[in-house]
Amino acid sequence: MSIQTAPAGTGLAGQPATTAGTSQPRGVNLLVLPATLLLLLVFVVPAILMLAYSVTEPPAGLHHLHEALTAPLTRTILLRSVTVAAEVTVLSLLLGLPFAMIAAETSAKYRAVLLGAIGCTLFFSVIVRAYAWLALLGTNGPVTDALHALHLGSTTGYAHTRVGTIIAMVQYGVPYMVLAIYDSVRRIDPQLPKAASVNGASAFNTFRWVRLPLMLPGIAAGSIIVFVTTLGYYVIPQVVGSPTDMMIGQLISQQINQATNWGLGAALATLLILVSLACFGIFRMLTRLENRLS
Amino acid sequence: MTTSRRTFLMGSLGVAATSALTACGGSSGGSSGSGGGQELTMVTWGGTTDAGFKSAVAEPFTKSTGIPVRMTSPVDYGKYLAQVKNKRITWNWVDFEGWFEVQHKDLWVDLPSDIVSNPSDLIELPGALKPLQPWGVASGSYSFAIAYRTDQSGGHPTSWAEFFDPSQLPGKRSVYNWPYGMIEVALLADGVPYDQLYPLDVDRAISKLDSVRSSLVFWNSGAELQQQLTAGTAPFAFAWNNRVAALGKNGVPVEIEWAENLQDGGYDVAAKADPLREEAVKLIKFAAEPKNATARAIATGYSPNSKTALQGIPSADRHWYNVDDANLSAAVGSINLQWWADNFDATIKKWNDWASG
Repeated sequence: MSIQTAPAGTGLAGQPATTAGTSQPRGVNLLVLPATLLLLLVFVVPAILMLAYSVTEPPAGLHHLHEALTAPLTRTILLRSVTVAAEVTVLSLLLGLPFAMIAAETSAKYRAVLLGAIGCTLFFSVIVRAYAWLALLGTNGPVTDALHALHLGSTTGYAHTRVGTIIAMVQYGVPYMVLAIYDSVRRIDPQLPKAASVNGASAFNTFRWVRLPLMLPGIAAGSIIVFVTTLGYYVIPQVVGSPTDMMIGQLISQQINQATNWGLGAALATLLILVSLACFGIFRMLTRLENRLS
Repeated sequence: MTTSRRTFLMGSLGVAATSALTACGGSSGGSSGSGGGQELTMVTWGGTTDAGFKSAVAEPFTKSTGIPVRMTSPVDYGKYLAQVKNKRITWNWVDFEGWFEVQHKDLWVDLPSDIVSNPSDLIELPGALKPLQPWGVASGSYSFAIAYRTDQSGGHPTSWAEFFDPSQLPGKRSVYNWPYGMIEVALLADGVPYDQLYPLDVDRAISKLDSVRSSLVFWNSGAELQQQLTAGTAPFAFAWNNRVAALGKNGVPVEIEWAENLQDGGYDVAAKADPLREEAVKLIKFAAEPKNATARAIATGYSPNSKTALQGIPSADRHWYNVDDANLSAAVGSINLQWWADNFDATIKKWNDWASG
């Protein structure tokens, strides 16, 4: 099972695989030095300086963090961000799981088509996609008109609503979910589900007791990627949402760029990073637990 | 489409595209300078405003003085104040909003007395600060006005009271997700006369807006305002006149109701701590010359700062500009920059609590 967690562990933490790659010759590890130094200089140090503003900006101390945690607006928006990220993660999983399973088990030709389609969507910038959703879901948009013709929606559509925002975010989340799960489906020994059904397990039971447990690492990796990226979204809620869909990234940007309230902006950024790190921490714990169980 | 003041950063397609373009354009612009001193950086709100300032101000300035100019966008107060704080100012000319300039008056150099050749030629906006200040000279102006689609039956609002009364004129209202200007028009709609607007009763304005909230859709940037008017998301909008003008010139069926338009303008300023402040002041003087102010107004959609410059705009297009005689006399007044300089943060907080809470 260690082989399954390795790609997730390296890709997710966003760090070079120095600890995982113990079998590599010593000198190879030194090759990560330039990249690490670069990251340290242009990312880690400025990020720490930025985060330091949350306690150094006047009034110095825990004032800004306290405000970020207790002001009704920031609490509402933090809670909203977590809720929306969870909803997007669940929906992406429901859509991505069957897609990944089909893609993994179909013929090479269809697999290429399915994965190609998923891969293609990653080529388009988030801004283009957000505006495209606005056109599709907005007044006089094709989705709106179609739903209206079927008596399923109003003429004003889903642009600038929570539903529209979540649709656009799910479209962003599904590819990451599919790629993560696809990887783990491909690693399942095809003999295992076969053995289960030969021994009389129903299709559902084969899925529930054989496939699903083996896909868990992929599901966990996909979910964590989708959850954490959604948490920090800026463009999609800004373009597709309404003010009541504001997420934490927008609030941070507004505090820093427009209100020039660096202290609060930095405090919110600190909280966002802490929440994201906590998610990774939970994920690591779960995968370790899983390793030990298997 | 022209102009995009306050295209609030990455949210807008235009900004991202122009940032990329100017990143390329900047380097070539830099090499074209013929040794006339160090390169100046001009910062605009992005989109096509960037192209407008480049062609109407930056390039002619370089041609005339030899001082190269690099364009960048968008304006970002956080970044600018970081430069001030670190005593390393690299943004030499910035398309600031007036309230920010008034809020940071002590940052700007006193301009020389010959900064404009004929001060009496400058246009005074009703109820606003004088166009010539020791620390700045009026740059461009615009108006908050009622925009409406002309292809819908049943008329359009002709006052802010009607604008915020969907029971009389049904239909969505597209409004700015930002209190600047919105508080003023909400109070006007609630029956407060202009001369009693300031100090603004923010709570009263917000409860007025809250009473019609279900009829409101919000825009965050000029691009979104234009998108909503074009798509027909809302037949009526609280709008910047220059953005509506850009749509109208492109054939979108939109018009401006100038009654009770609320005017606002900024200043051209140079920072004391800027090592290139002398060159920046030269740029300000150059931009204020009437023929250059005309070019700038045509390229950006903002109104020019002087009567002579206004006369330079083709008469067929002049009705789109807020300082055109009829529009100026239809104005209810102007934004009180000092009030916003003093109350910006507190007002933003109240607005956010209401709009996004």
